[in-house]
Amino acid sequence: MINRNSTKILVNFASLRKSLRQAYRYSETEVLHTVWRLMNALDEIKISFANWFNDDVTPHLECEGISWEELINKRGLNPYNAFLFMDTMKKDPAQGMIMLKGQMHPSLRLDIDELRPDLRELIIRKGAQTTSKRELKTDAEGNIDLK
Amino acid sequence: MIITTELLVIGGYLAYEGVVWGIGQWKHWKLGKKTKEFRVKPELTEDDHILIEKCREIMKSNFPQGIEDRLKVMTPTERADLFQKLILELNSVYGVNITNIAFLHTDEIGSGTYGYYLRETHSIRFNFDLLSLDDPMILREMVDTIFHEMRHALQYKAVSDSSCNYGTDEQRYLWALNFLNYIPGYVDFAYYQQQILEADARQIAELSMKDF
Repeated sequence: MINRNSTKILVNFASLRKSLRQAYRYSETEVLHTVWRLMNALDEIKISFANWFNDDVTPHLECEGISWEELINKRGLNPYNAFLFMDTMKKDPAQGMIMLKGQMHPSLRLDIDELRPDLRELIIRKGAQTTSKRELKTDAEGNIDLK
Repeated sequence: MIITTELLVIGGYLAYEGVVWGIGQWKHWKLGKKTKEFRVKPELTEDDHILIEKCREIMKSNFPQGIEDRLKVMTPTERADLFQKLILELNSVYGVNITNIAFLHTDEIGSGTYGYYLRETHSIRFNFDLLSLDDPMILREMVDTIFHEMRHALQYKAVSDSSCNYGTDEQRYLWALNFLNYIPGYVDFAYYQQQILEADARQIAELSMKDF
């Protein structure tokens, strides 16, 4: 839920972005995703996050016997990821415990150009994705020609 | 004069807060809408049921008395050979052609990583150190990884190869949408597992291995 605590996170967007990009090499999309998730987290999570980010206060977050620090030290999540996971766990503890056992693997992200033509057209038509960078051509006068 | 300056500063700050809040609301709505579309429980198609049945037949012929029973008497190298054999058998079931199979040590593949599909090289990598352990749960997870990663190879083929007719239009659309907006585990471990590409791969693997 978007509330005053969400706004507090949003006004720190520039600092958040810098930290995520520099320390953890997040892409812009990943930054946006993280900020959006934080803004929609439980108030307890948002307040803990703000205290941690602004004042370096260690969060005392725990769910089903798992603490925020354990998510970092034993599960290998970075601090931001640990806040997001703790939020999910608190919203659905049973599911959270199951997900805790899952493993990670490299990103499967694709560029829109890699899709087969019919799917690419469908995605663009539904407005689910913008055109790819390669389609941004300029004409002789330097105007961008969007396909 | 001072009052006017103060009012300007306060007004400017309030306007800034308003704009920031408005942008946040818009981005929140857009991101939420997009992510919600592919964070759904995957439904099994007719092709999926056929695939699962064929996977179970291969499981039955390779693990007639169960996974632990077969693997516990094998050396790590023999287990690796069996994994290669399984993948070559499963290629025709999944409709993919994975021939590049590698077994890496933990310091190369990553701690806690059982294995993964790499689309750039159309290969599957496994953690040889985990495969070498005799822990039944870990061995079971390793076999699960085969079916899981093969499914990712199939998902990729379905969205990138026009000649692939696997599944339904809806299934391919959701996969494509997720591929374009994939949530990596290192960013959001919870949503990473909930996205359809991962939930679907887990489901197929679980059903293929059930009761073995």
